Amino acid sequence: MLKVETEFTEPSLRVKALREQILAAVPRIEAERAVIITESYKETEGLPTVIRRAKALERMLHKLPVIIRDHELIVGSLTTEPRSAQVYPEFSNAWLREEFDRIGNRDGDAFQISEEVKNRLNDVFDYWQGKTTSELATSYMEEETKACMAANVFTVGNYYMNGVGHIAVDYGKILAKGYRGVIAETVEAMTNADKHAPEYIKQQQFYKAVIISCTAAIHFAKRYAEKARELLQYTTDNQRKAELQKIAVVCERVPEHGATTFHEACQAFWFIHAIINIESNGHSVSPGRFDQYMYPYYQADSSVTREEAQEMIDCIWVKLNDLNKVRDEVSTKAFGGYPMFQNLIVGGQTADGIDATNELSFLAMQATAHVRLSQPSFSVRVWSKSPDEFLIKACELARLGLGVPAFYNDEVIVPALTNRGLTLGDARSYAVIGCVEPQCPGKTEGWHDSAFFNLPKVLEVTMNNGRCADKQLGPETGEFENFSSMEAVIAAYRQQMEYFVYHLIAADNAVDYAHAERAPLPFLSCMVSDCLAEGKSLQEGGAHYNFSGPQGVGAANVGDSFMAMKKTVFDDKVLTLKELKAAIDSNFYSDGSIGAASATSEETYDLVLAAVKKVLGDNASIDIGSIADKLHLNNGKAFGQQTAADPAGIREMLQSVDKFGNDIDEVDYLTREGAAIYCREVEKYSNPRGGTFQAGLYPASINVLMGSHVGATPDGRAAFEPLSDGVSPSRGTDSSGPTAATNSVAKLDHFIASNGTLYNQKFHPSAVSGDAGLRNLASLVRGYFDHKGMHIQFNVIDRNTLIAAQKQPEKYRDLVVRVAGYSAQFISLDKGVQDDIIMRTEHVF
Amino acid sequence: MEAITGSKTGTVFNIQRFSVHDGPGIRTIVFLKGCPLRCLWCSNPESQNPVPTAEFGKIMSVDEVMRELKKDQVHYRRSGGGITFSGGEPLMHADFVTEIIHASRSQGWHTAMETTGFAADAVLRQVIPELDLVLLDIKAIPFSLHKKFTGVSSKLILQNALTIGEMAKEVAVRIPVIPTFNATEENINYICEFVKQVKHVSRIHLLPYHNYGENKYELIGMKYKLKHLKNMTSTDLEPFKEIVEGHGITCVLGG
Repeated sequence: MLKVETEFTEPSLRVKALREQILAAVPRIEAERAVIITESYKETEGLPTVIRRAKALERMLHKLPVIIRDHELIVGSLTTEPRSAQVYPEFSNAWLREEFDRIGNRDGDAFQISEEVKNRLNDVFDYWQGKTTSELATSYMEEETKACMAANVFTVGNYYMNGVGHIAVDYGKILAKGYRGVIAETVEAMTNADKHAPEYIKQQQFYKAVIISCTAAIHFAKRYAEKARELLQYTTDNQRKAELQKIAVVCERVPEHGATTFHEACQAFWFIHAIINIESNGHSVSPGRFDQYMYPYYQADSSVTREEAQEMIDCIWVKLNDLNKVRDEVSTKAFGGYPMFQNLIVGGQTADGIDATNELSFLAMQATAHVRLSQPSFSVRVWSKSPDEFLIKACELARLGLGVPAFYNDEVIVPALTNRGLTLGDARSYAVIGCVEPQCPGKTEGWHDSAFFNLPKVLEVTMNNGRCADKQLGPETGEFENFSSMEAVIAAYRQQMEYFVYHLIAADNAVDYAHAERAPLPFLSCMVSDCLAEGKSLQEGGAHYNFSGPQGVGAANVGDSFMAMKKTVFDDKVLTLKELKAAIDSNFYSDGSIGAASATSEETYDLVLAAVKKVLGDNASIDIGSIADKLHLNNGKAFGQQTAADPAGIREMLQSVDKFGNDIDEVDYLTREGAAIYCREVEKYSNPRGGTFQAGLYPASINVLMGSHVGATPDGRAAFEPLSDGVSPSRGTDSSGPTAATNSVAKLDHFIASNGTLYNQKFHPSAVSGDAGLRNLASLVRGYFDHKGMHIQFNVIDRNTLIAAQKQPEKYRDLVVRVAGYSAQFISLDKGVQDDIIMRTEHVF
Repeated sequence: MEAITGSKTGTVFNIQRFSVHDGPGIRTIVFLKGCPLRCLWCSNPESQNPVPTAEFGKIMSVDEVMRELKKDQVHYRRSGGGITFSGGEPLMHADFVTEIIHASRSQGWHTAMETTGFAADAVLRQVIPELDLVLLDIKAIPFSLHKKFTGVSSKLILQNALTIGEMAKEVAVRIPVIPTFNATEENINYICEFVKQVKHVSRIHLLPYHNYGENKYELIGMKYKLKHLKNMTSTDLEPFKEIVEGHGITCVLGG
């Protein structure tokens, strides 16, 4: 057989130096943007919101510092220091002020902040009191909805606290005609609008806002041209001089005009991308199908060599790592590792259904291997006609252990999207946003990360007849010990699901309205159709396709729990529901884990406290140090429960029941049902932008945090342990090898979870070594996709490396791993997330 | 071809999916229980006794085995893989194995077997021509040395190897390299000289000695007699690889 490995090359010295700048950077918080937007807002009170937003952006693009870093070919920065972050006080800010003094040394995603920056931000934050999107959203929410969030059934935290992002704009349009072209288009739309229609009043404001924004974007680039000319005077190095001259010429031309060279296309791409990130801090701003819209410029440019093009692409990859975002402490548990989720996808098919793989698809893979940083979130599309050579190369990239690329299956995603109303051509043109969410780029406001929903929490509430921590949270659906069949348990779970999904939607839509009212984004909107034709921002429903996508987390825990109940209680009758519940309520009577968990979770602490109070009476003060001992003495009785069965035995019994991930139909289909009940409930609803809800099944890294809010579950999982991630089996339970695990995962309904599903598989490097290993990995992807799986990604790093990196982080600062829908620098992750990654089943052969 | 009834049974002690070292592509290995040899380094000592016990081995019908094998048929198709029999010694279950091979071939799967080569001539004639690949162990040439470390003389095995070469489509010879037993230039040279007489041999695999089975011995109350030996690495085998290649035979280190 022919050798299929082709191996990746070394990057240029420039790219190495740029990469080193990123690795050496210490993330800081900078104040300029927050100060500028506040100054602008103070001057524009009384104007329409969309104009205020445009004027604020204009001021930022005129005033933000212009920074050209050493060695850069592609320029444009959001912050003075690399990998630092601006602040977006208009979305929310109270948390940041509250975290000022500890954000520099928190467990994950720390940011340094100087006293000066704190002072400047303090002044700014005072202005925004009562004016943020977050505060408006809260005022739209019912008490019951807030109670569900307080009980950690779901969180809408992402857009509640920050901008929305989660979009792939029509980069190709700007590359082709520049912002001058967009302004012309806007003027034309304005001219053609029906001036007698009442909407015209608002449309006119939107059009004006677009023109202000695009003009400012052009100005921003010209400031970079000027800066390059200025630097030229201080540069003695001849090569750098030539580069700066080129940069000046390119920035004079784009993004004002259409690109005429590959260099101009690269630079225009970056300005578009950077300015989107200045306008709002919504993450998951995704470059999408880079190999498609860039290819015409590569093909037509006879002056650029393959090596030069490669270096420019590498430079863009590094720039994508220059962007950063500050999140509140709780959100960093959900999204650990400074992720920006800038998903960039190559391969797949054209709108006409012809294979779209081209030379840039391969250069993009090479760039990922050159740069070896966490951004972009690199993805490949695979379909029946993808060339094997492309898939093999993608597997070779996967084998580097960076957790990329993620593999997506056209054969599932295209029909899943047409099922949501996309035309066939639009569905075939899909790109992936953020973690795993497919959308038609340039036409969609997908709100893909609208919420995370805790599926096992709903099961827990079901087992408590709607109660949560002794409060009636959901409807009364019957005491657990009275259920007579598995069907009755599932019916109660479904009824609870109806209630909680209703509130999930209510929360999402409250946030949605808040963004429409307070944060319409004219710059972003002008690059997504039909905003210009409709004269409406994305936030007000201007996009051609509108969705909201809340994710279910912990599907495997629910399926495994159903299976454990069915087997032990209803089939084999070795346990009663009462005994099962007693074991679970007491966390399998394991004091050790209660003691340990109490240090990490406030809720646990409260639980323990409540339990101890029950035992000791309401003493005025309780010495927490003695609690563990007391619990030990009183064992399970601390929770007022007692059972005749051997408690330790119960957990073992539950753990030994068949688990999802081993290609066993019964439990696999129960898992499918547990997840589908959620998905089907979600898709009943609509959002204020005129679109529908569609569920996804993926967790970012929130499965660790969500697990800390869920007691023991009938699958044998101890209280507060992480939930299963995405559609992956619970960690360590898929013991029948990778094909069995993929077969199980493929038995879920991936079509209905059209907002994306996520499957992590971990391999020891030895399992995929050599030519044969590469072929086998490629075959595994094809096989999983034949079974109609939607997405798969691999971590190819051995456990020992990860453990070593935990111990000596300074030696492993460039170790990048797959977290969930994204890769991150391992050492920047919170320890809980690190542990979760280490614990995932590793396939070794 | 005889009609497949699917009701024949055999003693299976494990079915392992996604095996990638025992033939091309992604494969499922069916481990059968019972072995006529008693190799001192055997890493599956629980598979030696042909009788199923409480912990080890399960009597399965052809239908049951096929149901398990079919679960990965997509992966065989995509990778050019299939199934591999191992053991124990699969030739101790000739009828059972033959039926599974027939059923697998009608699905278009690649079929392979790991064997000690220690079997009756009639059994070889029944099974070997049906397989796509035979992974044949040749551990040593001298009769008495072989007997000392495996419990049987190599005479029958070597005789069978020639027969297998006549009938097989492809033979891959595997040499477990065991210090104090065959890990010498002389022994490897002997084996190579012999292998040159066997037809249809595509390559020799050299398998470095490992003691991963040691714990199992204690668990099942047996004594592990090679306790004093250290694990070998692929690097230790490099000199032997040169010898094999010196004979003009392709050599692969490991599975």
